[in-house]
Amino acid sequence: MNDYRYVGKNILRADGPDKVRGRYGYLADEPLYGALCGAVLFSSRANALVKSLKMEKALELPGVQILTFHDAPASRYNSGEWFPGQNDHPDETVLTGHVRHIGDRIALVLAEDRPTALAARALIEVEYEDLPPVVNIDTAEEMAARLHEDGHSAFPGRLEYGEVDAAFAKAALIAEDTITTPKIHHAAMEPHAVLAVPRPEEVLEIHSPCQIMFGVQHAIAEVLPLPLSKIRVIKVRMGGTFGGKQEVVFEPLCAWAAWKLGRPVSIDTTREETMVATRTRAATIGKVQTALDGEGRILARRFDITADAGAYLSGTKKVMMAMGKKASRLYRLPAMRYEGRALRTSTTPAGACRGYGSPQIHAITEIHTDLMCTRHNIDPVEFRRLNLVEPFDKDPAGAADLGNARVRDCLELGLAAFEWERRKSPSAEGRFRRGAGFACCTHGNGYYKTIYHDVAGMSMRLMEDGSAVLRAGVHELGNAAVPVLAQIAAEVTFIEPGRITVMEGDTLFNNYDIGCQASRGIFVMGECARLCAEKAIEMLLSEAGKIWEGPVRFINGVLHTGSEIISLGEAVRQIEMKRSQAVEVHIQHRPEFNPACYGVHFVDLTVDTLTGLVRIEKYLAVHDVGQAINPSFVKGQIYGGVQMGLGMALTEELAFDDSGRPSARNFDKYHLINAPDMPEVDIILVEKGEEGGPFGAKSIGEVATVPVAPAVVNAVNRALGSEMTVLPLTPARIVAHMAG
Amino acid sequence: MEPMIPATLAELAEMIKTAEKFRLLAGGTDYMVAHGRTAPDRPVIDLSGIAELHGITFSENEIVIGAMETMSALSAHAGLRPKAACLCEAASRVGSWQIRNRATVGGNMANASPAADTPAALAALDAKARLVSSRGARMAAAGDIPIGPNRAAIEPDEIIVSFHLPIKPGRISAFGKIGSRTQVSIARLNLAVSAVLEGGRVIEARVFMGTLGAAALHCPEAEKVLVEKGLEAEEQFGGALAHAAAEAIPGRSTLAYKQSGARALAEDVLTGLRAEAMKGRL
Amino acid sequence: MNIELTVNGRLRSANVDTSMRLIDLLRDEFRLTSVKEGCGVGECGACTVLLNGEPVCSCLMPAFQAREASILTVEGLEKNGELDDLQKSFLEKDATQCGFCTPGMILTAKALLMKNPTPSRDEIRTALAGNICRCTGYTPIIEAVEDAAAKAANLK
Repeated sequence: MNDYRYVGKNILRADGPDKVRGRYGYLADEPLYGALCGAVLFSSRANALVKSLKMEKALELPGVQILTFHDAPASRYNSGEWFPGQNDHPDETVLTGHVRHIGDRIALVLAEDRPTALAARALIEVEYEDLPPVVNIDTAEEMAARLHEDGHSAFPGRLEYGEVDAAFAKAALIAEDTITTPKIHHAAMEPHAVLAVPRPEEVLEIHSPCQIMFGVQHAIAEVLPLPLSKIRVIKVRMGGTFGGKQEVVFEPLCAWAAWKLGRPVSIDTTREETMVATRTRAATIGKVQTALDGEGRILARRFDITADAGAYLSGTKKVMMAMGKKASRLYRLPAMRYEGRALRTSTTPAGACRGYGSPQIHAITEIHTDLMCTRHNIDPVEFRRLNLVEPFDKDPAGAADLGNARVRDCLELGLAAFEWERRKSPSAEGRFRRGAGFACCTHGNGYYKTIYHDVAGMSMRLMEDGSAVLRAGVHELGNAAVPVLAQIAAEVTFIEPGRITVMEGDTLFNNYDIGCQASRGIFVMGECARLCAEKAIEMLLSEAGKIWEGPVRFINGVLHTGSEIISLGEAVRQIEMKRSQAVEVHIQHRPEFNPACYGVHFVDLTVDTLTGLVRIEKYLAVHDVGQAINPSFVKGQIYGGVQMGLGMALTEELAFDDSGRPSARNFDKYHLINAPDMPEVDIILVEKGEEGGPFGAKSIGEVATVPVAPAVVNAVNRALGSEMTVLPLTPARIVAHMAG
Repeated sequence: MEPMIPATLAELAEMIKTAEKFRLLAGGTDYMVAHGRTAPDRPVIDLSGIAELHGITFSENEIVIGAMETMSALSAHAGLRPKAACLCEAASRVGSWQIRNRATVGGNMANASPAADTPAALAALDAKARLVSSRGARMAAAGDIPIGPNRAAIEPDEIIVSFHLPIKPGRISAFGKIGSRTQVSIARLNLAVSAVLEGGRVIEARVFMGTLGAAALHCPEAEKVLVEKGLEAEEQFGGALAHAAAEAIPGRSTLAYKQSGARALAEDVLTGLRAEAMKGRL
Repeated sequence: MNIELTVNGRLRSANVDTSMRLIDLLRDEFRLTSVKEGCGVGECGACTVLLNGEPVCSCLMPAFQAREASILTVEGLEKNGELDDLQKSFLEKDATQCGFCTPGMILTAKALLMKNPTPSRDEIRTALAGNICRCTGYTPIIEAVEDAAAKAANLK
């Protein structure tokens, strides 16, 4: 189809050899000599005032220092705010004497080595004055004052367009459902870690496996009296994130401790600490109402959404609003009213998590859609054919146009490949019920035409030997964010990807970039890399033209002058020598598109009605990706997205009892899907290009996990003839349903 | 603190006599979760160096399994499976491969988790544990050892040396387990059953169901169903198990789930037993 | 106490106390940082090493129990600068994303192939049940193990 040299090919990732050798050093693998080891003293109460801390015994251990909430700055910050002036409500401090969830931070115990720090922490006695915990979301608003003194009981938000009430008034049919989605642990395999190092000239260096280095810088500047220019954030090698390392958690604390003590400080955490004390996917309760006309067309939708922010607002209000913004980009909704609120509870804070609200809103709407279809005898496929968006539709809510929206292609290809007609009718054998389901979804490609700015900056230097360095403010998350940039730059420059080194994020040396969030990695940063490489070649040719006189053309990676063929490296050398000019360019890319990407997933499964266990028999994922830069990477995102989504559908849930104690603190009681329960996943990619993306590419990493849970729930509901709407569909919930 | 590492049972007995408080360490898979990341509060006696605690041997009347044999060793033992299928199956369903390579059958019993897999199987096979202390040796029924969550009827100075499984002609057995995943999960319910067949009829049955209360629950009513109705009576067998569950944990929020699970395990385990019977042409 | 053990083919000795776990010995004393701590309770498999050829969770094993044993970590897989077949296959099949679970995955797979050179996909899934991966959905990992098995079979 195309004659690309590198795009569309499965180029191996440059960090692979070190990863399979086990020498891709993560922060905990490379301790800094002389750094103090910090162990955070976490709260064991869900809502309490710390009356006293008995630290004498701890302080007797050699070299132990303890920083408590008494010492800490009073400045409040919001962990999800990544830019000065975003005005996300700040309600969190680095340490606190009013602990608001189990795992809240009371003190930081520091010692020369980690065992001593842990031993000292264990010797501290905390006296609490318990306050009533806020665990039930239904009472969170009225109990808000028990948790925070800032006077906010809720963080509401609203979106509306069209004549909603009129549409409902004239509707032929109105359907309503309420769907509950769980609080989820990101479960990046690397627990959270951070290192802060004071450097000369008051530069504070933060080593963080993060997603938004300038956001980390901003959060630290909220806490410390340092200008942004003195806070250097270096994104270090990361063992997964899924949004869990997108918001700051231990960075401001670690930075403050290092700054205060004038010593490097590292904080490593265990799984338990990462699970109870960092961030989670926000649990939501979503009521959705759909008004249909007599032919089954959607006239309007109304939403009432409550998102559980946990103990601090974090990014949850943004997540809640992002849910609303996705609602008008899958089906043609002539009118919509979205009312939502983020509420705080005495539980682990929520925040960014793969999909940023998309998995929640599409679970809510796609489960509702199927229940509505079943209840009213509407064919779920025909309903989609009637209502799904068309390519190049506008978003009636006023956000960016949908672009080459190929959800209908995904649906039709999927229906055929999955043999939907054959599988759609449920069947039973003994205690087993088999059923099939599918779900559609959409996600975005950056921030263009949202309330946030979107800009990516990169610079590239062509080297004297014909290799190249691309300085990008990119964050490798494990998703191959870095190697795809090399692959894109290689396509433009003809320099093989292995000879292009992409420098990861460092706030001191990289151009400004708003971070690896919002599914902008490929669409915005990838395009920035392409433009940057093009600009480098333009400069090369323009400078070469001044040496060799006359038009110089760039063909297959070499320069053609009128008379000779010159290698890229030779040209760079000549330009440097004769023109005193390095072939080095900088670019700022401001996207002017933010298209939607789509996925439709199909699942065939068997429910054991006695044990409540669900076995996935067949799985098909179809995605509209514009153009796969590296199909193997794209598929890797989809397989992983399915694994994560199956957890949301069936097993993963952080629950809290009445006293705010979490049901799980480690992987023994929080079960991720493991290899035996992971189905074979078939994948179809729809590659019809997308304007504004590099070579037509758009995002996949987040959207891949979005339709999984609703597809599974729809299949279970079809298998059992049920209307289960509380996720995950645990064995207990399924068996309870069977019991009636 | 340094660990104590006896090489023989005699050395162990000496150490136990002199140490006031101590912890016994077998494969470590439970010990390390509970204590592994903090400094020990009392001396640790490591059992891994004692040869007498190893070995799986067969005689005419019994099978003797050393307490330090691992779950992997049990599940892979070709000679054991035909005579103690439920034990091999239970061992193979414990944790992951990594865990099974360390976890021991003695440790599984002594740790006395109500959800443990091999104690239920040993009880179903009518196994006896041989317990030794400086005061001598005694035999105890496997089913009598776990008496509460993480409490075992073992004296502080005693250790489990081995399990003795009587060999009975015509005996078959099967094990079933429900976890929250297919593999690598603590049991939400498990079931071990043995039956002695004679002329195609069940003349004796032993049924133990785990996770209901303090230890694997002996279910005589369910045994009666097997003896009276045979291996096809899934409904009644499941009903008896569900009834046993109701009596064991009345009013517990998990009861309804366990009862439903018991019916599933009844079906699965009887299917397994019938397959065993076919294999053994009983 | 002082123990001797073989690590990646080299005889090593170390002074260990009761509370030192095998993972601590390997990471902190021997600087074999391919061994990762993902959960500390034997549920994720990131700390898997081979003990006399068998996969074990090094977070659940006191170091002193490894006395006289032979330990293999991923650092010991490479022979004369050449990657092991499994490492090559993990690379070629994109079976590594963030890389944190990769060393443990490779070692469990290595133990499987030593026991069963031609495993089925289901046997691979069962062997890897104790190794959790959040990135790859396991499929590329299973394909890598199959690929390594096929490579080895073709050599025979």
